[in-house]
Formats: sequence, C-alpha cells, structure tokens
Amino acid sequence: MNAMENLSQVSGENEFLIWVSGDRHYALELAACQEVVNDVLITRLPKAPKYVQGLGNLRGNVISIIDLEVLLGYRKEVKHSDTCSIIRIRTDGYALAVAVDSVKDAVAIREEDIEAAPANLTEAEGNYIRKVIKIQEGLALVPDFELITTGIYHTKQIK
Amino acid sequence: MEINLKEVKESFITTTHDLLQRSEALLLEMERQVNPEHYTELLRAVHTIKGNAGIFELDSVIHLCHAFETFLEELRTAAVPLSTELIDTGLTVIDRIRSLVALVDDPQKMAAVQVQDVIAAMENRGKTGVAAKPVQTGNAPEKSEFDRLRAHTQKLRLPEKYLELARRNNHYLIFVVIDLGDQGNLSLSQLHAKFKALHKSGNLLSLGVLRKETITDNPAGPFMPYFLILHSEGRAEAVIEKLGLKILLFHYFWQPEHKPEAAAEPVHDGGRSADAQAKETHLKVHLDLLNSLIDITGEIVLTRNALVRRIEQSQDQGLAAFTKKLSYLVTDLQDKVMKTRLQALGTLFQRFPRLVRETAAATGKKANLHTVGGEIELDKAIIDEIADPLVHIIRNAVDHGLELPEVRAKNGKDEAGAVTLSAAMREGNIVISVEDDGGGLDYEQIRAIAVRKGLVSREAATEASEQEVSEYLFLPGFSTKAEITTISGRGVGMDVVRSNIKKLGGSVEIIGAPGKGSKVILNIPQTLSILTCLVVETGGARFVIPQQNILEVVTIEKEKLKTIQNKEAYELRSKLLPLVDTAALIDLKNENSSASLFVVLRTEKYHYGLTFERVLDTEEVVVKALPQFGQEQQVFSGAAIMGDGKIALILDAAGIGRHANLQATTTDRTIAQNRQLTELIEEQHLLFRFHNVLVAFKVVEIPRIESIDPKTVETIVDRQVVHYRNEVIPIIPLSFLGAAVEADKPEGSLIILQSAGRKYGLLASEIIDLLNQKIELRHDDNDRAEIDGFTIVDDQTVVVLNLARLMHMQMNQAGERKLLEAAP
Repeated sequence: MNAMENLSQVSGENEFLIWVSGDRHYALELAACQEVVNDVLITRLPKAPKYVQGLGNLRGNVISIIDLEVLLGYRKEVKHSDTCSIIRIRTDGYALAVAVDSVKDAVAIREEDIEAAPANLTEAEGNYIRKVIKIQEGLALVPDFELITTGIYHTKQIK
Repeated sequence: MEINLKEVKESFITTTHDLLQRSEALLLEMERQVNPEHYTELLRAVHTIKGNAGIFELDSVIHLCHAFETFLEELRTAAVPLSTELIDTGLTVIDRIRSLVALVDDPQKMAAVQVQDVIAAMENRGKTGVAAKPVQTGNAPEKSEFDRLRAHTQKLRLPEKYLELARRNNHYLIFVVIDLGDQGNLSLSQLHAKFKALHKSGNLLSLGVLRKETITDNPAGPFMPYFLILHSEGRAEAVIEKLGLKILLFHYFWQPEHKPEAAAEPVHDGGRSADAQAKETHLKVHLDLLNSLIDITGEIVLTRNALVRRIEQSQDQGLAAFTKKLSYLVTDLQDKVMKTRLQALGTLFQRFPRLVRETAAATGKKANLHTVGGEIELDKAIIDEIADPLVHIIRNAVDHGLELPEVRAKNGKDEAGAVTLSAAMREGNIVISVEDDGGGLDYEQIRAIAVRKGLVSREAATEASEQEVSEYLFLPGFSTKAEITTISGRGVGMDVVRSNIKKLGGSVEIIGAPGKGSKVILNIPQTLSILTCLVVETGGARFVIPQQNILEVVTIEKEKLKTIQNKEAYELRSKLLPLVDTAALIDLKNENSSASLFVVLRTEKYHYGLTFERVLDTEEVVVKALPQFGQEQQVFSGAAIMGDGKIALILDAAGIGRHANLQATTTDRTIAQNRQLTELIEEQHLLFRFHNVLVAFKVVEIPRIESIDPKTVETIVDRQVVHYRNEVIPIIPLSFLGAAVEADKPEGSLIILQSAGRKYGLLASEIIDLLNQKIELRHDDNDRAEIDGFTIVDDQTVVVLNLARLMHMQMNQAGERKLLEAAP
C-alpha cells in the first residue's frame, strides 16, 4: 500500500493510476490524482444523489466521495460502509474523491494503448467516459472528471 | 537596514485604501452639509496619498491628486454649496485613484489608465463651481489674504533642528497661525499663560509674530498674525483643541510615517489625547498570520477536548488538576485569538451610503440610508464574506423595495424612502437586517414570475402560501425586474446571497408586509471556525445543532403529541409547537426506533421542535463548508469536524423550517403587531423585590427563605454561588430583569428552590408577600423565555418568572461547562 510513494516517484504525460472498483478496472492520468488515502471515515450524506458515498475528512478538509459504479450505472446503490479507500481527484474548485476497492499501480502507458471510448457504451457510461486504455488485465475505463463535475453541476441546476 | 519594498507597498495600498474610503465618506457628508473641517480633512487625505504615491513614482496618481487638491481648494475658497455634479466628479476621482493604486504592481496597465478626462472635468467643474457663487467675505483676513497667508506659510522653511526632532520622535511638526486680534475675550495675559502651559508640556517649539506686510495689503487693520511651531505625537487638532484658541490655519511640516489609523479617523471627534495613546498600542499584523493562529488554536481546542476526555477516565488526580488548568488557559487563548480578527461592522457600513446614493440615482428613486450597530465587531473573514451579499440586498431594497417618489407621495409616504441597515447581537449571533419602507413583497407578482420563468408549476404557485412564495425569491434565476439593468435584475441575486451566507453557517430570511416594506434578515455566527453545538443522534447517525438556535431540550410525553392537519405538534406549556421528525426529514426512518425527545429551535422566522432519539453531548466543533453535494440540501448548513475526526452534519434550523413548510411564527413579531394574550391564573405566587423590580413566581411547594449575610455570596468564575449550611448553591442570575442594582445595598434574602434534586438560589432584596388571589397574566411572543409574563399587583407591574425554565437554563449552562471541568 505504498501508492503514495509511487505517486511521487513516477510522473509524465502517459502515467496512469490504475484501480479496481467492483469488477472493473479504471485509470486516470497521474497528474489528475491528488492522493490516495486508505481507511477514510465516511459520513453518509442523507438526501444526496444516489452515487454519493458520503463525506470524508481529509486533514480538516471536507470532501465528497462518489461511487463511480453507481454513477456509471453498474450498480443500483452505494454499498455503505464506515470506511473506504479513496483517490482524491484534482479538480477545479471541487473537493471530490472516488471510492475504490483497491489501487493497483501507477503505470506508463504507450500512446497507442490509449483509445477513444467504444461506441457501444450505455448512456450513463457515455456521459462520463471519453477514453479507455489497454492494460494487461484488459481494458481500463478513464473517467473524465471534468465532464463529471460539470455534469453534476448541471443536474444540480436543473433540479 | 534593508527596506522591504513589498511591505512598504502593501502598507501604501492599505493606507491609501483607508484614506480613499474616508474621503468618499467625507464627500458624501459634504453633499449634505459643507463644513470647513471636511475640506481640511479631505485635503489632508489627498495630500497624504499624493505624498505616498511619490515614493513609488506613480505619476498619474500624483497628477490626479494634485488636480484634485486644486479643485478642492477652489471649492473651499468659493465656499459654495456642493452640487450633485461636483460630488460626482469628486467620487469619480476617488474611484480612479483607487483603480490606479490597485494596479501598483503593473506599471504598464497603470500607464494605460486615463486620468486626463477626470482632470479636465475637475478643471471645468471647479471653475463653474467657483464662478457660480460670488466670493464670500470671511472674518478677519479677506479670502485673498487668507490664500496668500496659506501660500506664504506653506513655503516657509523651518529650522532643520525642528524637523530633526519631529523625525526622531516620529511626531507631527505643526505650524499654526492664529490671529491674536481675534481671540474673543481672552486677555493678553491669559494668552501668555496658555503659551506658557504649552511650552511646559513640551509641545511648543517656537512662537512669534508673522510679518504682516508680507501677507496683507492692509497692515493697519486689526489683524495680528502670530505663529506657533508645535510638535506632537497626535494630530494637530488634538493640540489645538487643548490650546483653546481660534486658529486661522495650520500646516504639517512633518508627518510621522505609516499612521494610517490616524489618517482614517474623522477629524472632528479625534481630538482627545487618549487617541494619541491608542495609536501607540496598535500593531498591524498580517492577516495570514492571524489566520494561521486561529487555525492552530482551533486544533489546540480539539486536542484539548480529546485529552480532557481521555484523562477523565484515568485515575491520576495530579494529572486531572493540570488538565483543568490547561483547559482554562486554552479557553482563554481561544477567546483572545478569536478577538484578534474582529473588526467593527462600521468599516463595512461606510461603503453603503454611496451605494444607496448611486442606486437611487440610477433608478429614479429617492433614498436615505440609516445604519445602526456599526460598532458591533465581527470576524474579518465574515465581514469580507457578507460584503457582497449586503451590496445585493441593499441594491434590491432601493431598486425593488422602494417605490418611485411619485408613488410614495400618493401613498402618503415621504418621497425619500428609508433603508435601514442594522446589526445587533442576539444569542451569540449577529443579526444584520436591511429594512425598507417600500411596497413590501408583491406575492401575486412573485408567483407570476416564478411560473413564467419555469421555476415552479402554476399549480404549486397557486397553492403556495405567502410564506412559500417569499422563498421563491431565493430560487436560482429568479428576478422580478422585467428588464435587466446594471443595478439588479440579472437573476444572480438572492440565491447567491443565501448560498454565501450559508457557507458561513448563517441563514437568510425575507419578510414582507404589503404596503409597509420588506426586511431581509441575515443571521450569522460571530465566529467562523468554532461553534458550540449539541450533538444528537437519530436513525443511527450523528448530527449537530448550533447552540445558538436551541431554546431547550424537551423529553416527549406521548399524551402531549397532537396531530393537526396532518402535521405533528406538541403541547408545550399550553402552547402548540410544530414538530419536525428528523428521521423522516432526512430519510433515515427506522421502524424500530422512535424519537424520545425534541430540541426547541428558534430562528428569526421559525419556532419548532426537532425530534431525536438521543442527545449525546455538547461539543465544540470546527465548522467547514459542505462540498458541492451538500449545498443543495436545504437541511444542512455545513459539516462539523468532531473531536474524534469524524464528520457530522450541521442541521440548519432555518433551512429545516423552510423545508418542512412550517408557518413562519415570527413574521408578526417583526413587522405586524404582537399577539398579546391575557390569562387569569389562580395559583399561589411569591412576590419579592429585586432592587427596583417587583418579581413573582408560581409557588409549587413553599420554598425556604433565609436571610443571608451578603458576604457569603461569592462570584466564582462567571457565576454567583452562595454558601449555605456547608453547601454551595448556585444562584440564578436575574440580570435579564435589567434592575438598577445598587452595589451598596446587597440582596439580603435567599430563596432556596429545588429541582431534580439540586438546589438553586434566588437573591431578593425583600420578600413581600405570598399572593393568594387570582392574577391576570399578560404575555406575548416577544417575551423572553425566562418569564411567563407580567401582571399588576397594587398598581405596580410585576414580572412573573418561569422558574422551571430558569432552573433548566442554569442546568444547561452547567452542562456546557462540563467539558472544561475535568473532574478531579
């Protein structure tokens, strides 16, 4: 569990952090990941959208933790627990993290292994996934957090 | 010594900002009434800015200031009343200087800012202003002579040793001209005595006769110019006031550097020598440093709480004693540190007269702003956060609230509308309200607009109560103005205001009475970071409620639960209180648990009970804003980081009231008339006197009454206790009665009460009687919780106490302190 160390060791445009949630692999450009924290205490947020796992306290900062599985429509409901591991995302003005089951590694990905998202995505997937990368285990989804934050903000406005 | 240019620059910017702020206020004052002192102060402010700008070679600022000085001098000489155009010109100049100074780090952009247009405007306007009025003749010297005198004395060269002295002591070096021939009834010997005294005090450096020939065409007149050279720690006005002479003019030949507080002070009330000392005791500290101090203190408090809890469980007596001491020190530290960032609201309020003036001008209204409570201090961070919301609200009050002058006149109102901005402390909160005496809320129009903009459905709008309709104003995208103006109407109004205030843990409510006006009320905690909260539990989750909203905690007695029109209510002291089921409210309803108690909450607008399963503790928590997802919830005002590091959500008393669609219970309290109730009560009351106030309370069981030696009453920490038969009994404070307490006549009687196995004492000056007759009890919604109401006995008003409540409050306070008092 020394993902933190890995984070600081590797850098570069094609470095991706790979993690697992449910039975899928996900990846995100390393530069967009702020930190990985294990065993974050979670406080449930009543009346929040269903993909919100809850709020966490990261050294005095209150952040929202979202469950990608629910956001992308793979699961109906958040699995509530007292703690979880999270990856804090670097976003513009949003204190946002995603809940993860386990963080794999930071790996360098060659340009040709980065592909546009396939056409057969569901609507929920299509909303937030723009590209996928090829890894040893198969494909890893790369969520676009800019789309996610604006999407969330947009739904909020409509409501 | 190396000069830190960055610091000097920052100091320049803040100083200039203060001076401009003051200048603006002065100009607005001068629009109403011109006073020579205004000119003096204004000129000095501009001059100081010019001088400081010189250090950084800000040519455009210097030119602008210079032209401004000339402009003001011309106006002063002309002594004309200032027209709106002249004031406008002045304000434009101030704005221009302000924007120039803001660009101090970017010389290129600064150079691009035009100043010639304003200078030209001043030249034109200044001349017209002067030409418009014939030159008035003053007292002794003619105006032209006076100018000559001013010009002449300004160019004087004072001996270098005086300058040196002033520089070394960081004093003002002042050159004062007086007319010896015009000092009223003072005889020469009296004058002499005055100068002597001045010399003794060390202020006077030199004095003498000014050569008349050089300054007047009329040497034969009674004019006897005399000069004094003074040095002083304080400004000239202080010294001159002490001198008690009429002066013609004064100049500064040396001014101490970096005394911005002094410059920002109004001249006419800054004349006491105490001021001079106050300046010495203040220090400018960088805000970042204060902020980090506050953060660290917050952490210390939390660590202290955790430590205290841990030590309570250990058996080590010595450790407990240390912890207790540490605990007090930390509380003290927190208190003091929080105070460092306090700033008077007045500094913010002084921005608004101009805002009202301009908004009124742009919308064709007439408006006067009254401000109340500018002396109230608030955390600077909060002041910064509420500045923009207040701008919105005040603009709205003028633009939407007030009617056009014609309409007002037709409705029998004064043509000029009144906007009242007031601040007050209430239960640890700051309540800031903006009230206008305009048309009030037009509910029909608000309904129509909300429907037209697609914010609510037509059906919902038709059914909505006035209460709910007033909430439409806070919907994103709502704007009542048909066309967009620069003033307001862009629809980024009240919703932004509310979310900004919410970030501070506060609330915004709006109350309107058609035809009479409307009132926007901001309720803001006094400090940002740490809040005393009640920690409660329901549906397996922990929540916190800010102490300031809580009136009391009540255990539910099943038979008092009522359902009225499908809404739950509780019969509390023979009044019905609406109840909100927290578990249902936040979708945490659990079949096998039921709420056993409720917390009575009161906001400016709502009064209701919120149910819970358990009360856990009173805790000080660090308050954080909710991240994006929490903000759309109406029911939470923030997140609290608890002592154990977990987050608990802060329940928003006003938000829940809105969410649960409660009737506003206090609307009538603020704008309409109070409901007054009178009941006949047939119960025994004990009547006693507390200094000059007659007090009674319902007697349940005859209390013990003892005469006591006042010496046995002690004040420990912040409360009074009395020693009584080897017991220490807390005394219920009656300070809320507002009695005129005579220190030399201490209370001689002690009434001993019992509640829940504890004894409490009430001090009385004199026990009067046990009343057996029926009493007529009058009470209304405005009454404090501690009293049941008022009655009349033998033509005298008697306050009837609510003893149960008083004892309960006493107990609660004790509970609040529990954390701090680690049991030895």
